[in-house]
Amino acid sequence: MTGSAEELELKERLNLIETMIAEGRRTTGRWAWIFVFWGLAYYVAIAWTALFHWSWAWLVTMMAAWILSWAIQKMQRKQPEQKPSTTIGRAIICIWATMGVSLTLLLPALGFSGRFNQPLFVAIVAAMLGTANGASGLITRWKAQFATAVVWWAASVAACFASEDQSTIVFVVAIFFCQIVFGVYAMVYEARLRKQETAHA
Amino acid sequence: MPEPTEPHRRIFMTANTEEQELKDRISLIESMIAEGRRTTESWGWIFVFWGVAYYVAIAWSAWGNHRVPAWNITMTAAMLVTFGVVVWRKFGGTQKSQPVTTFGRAVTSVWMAVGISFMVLIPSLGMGGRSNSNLVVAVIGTLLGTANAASSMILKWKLQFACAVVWWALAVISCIGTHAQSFYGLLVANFFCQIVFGIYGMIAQSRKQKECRAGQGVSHA
Repeated sequence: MTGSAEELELKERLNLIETMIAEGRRTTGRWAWIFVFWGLAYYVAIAWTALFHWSWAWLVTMMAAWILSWAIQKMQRKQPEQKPSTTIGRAIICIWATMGVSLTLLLPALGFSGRFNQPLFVAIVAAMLGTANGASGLITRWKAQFATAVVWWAASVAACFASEDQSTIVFVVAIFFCQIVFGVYAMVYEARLRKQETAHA
Repeated sequence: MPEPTEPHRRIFMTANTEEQELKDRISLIESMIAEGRRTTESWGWIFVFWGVAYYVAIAWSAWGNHRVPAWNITMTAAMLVTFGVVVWRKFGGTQKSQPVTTFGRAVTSVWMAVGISFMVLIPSLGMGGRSNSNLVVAVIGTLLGTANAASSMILKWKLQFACAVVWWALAVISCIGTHAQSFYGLLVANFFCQIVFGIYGMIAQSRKQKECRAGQGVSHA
């Protein structure tokens, strides 16, 4: 009796974890627009710097992107269909928030100290994005997201050995696959799940 | 006083069940958070071990005869030992391993991802000729700050978040400070956030194990 009760409890616990993992993927899916949005923001900053050689282009674009994404997510939260976050969803948000804080502290500090250059910037940003995507991919057991982490880590290594122009190309390619393509894929995945839910309801 | 009607009774019962379910869910989440903290505490030795490894590498590179490979050899040795102990604990350990909770899995994922970034970025910076001691310390501070902050936010653990703040401060100091400031900053941060925090985790874990054994003794008696 006790054995079967324990087994049942274990099964219930496993079911709960499975549900939480699925919900965690959905959390990433709901935030997929932010991958595409930030991917485009990086492109704007790269193009602005390359075409007009204005040293503040990155700072202005990143600040504008941050304010816009904050406003959009505020509006998104007001929507009535917004679901409460799960443990895994909260863990993923924590990872991305701490990654944001780390980059906000490190990159300006490097800039002020005069240690900043393009390959170093790409290497650090790619490693940090690899960390966040890798951790999220491991938590949600999402191979596609872990693959984006591998691409970011490869970009980080490549940037360490590359020239200024080469590192920019590496960054542009990594953004395309890991932000734009993965973001669109996650949006499609979330929309498909929402359709299935509506059909079942 | 009129008797409650059938629909009223049903609404009251549903509300009661929902409240109970909510309470159960909250207590489950709380127990999972506690279990996640225990997971971190059970890895307290690894904080101490890496803290000592950093000190060995620092001392060797500062005063040793073979200064160039000091960091590479020490870090590779530390990684191999960690990997060996992790494998032994998982597959061949004498202690029966506890089932992993969602929180424990989340924290493990964070540390694994940070570990991979470490292994990828720091040697590449060195081999690519972009490395200098200030930059390496800044990168170490940023990565360890991220890992500690994410873990502490997941586990709602203020002490670990304080460690994250120290690591982040070290990253900023290493960027804007001198070589000596960065060096002493690393020594201090390593002492508090690896050695002291690791020992605290080990003590907390052994205390809980003792309490657990005492509890089992009472139940057997």
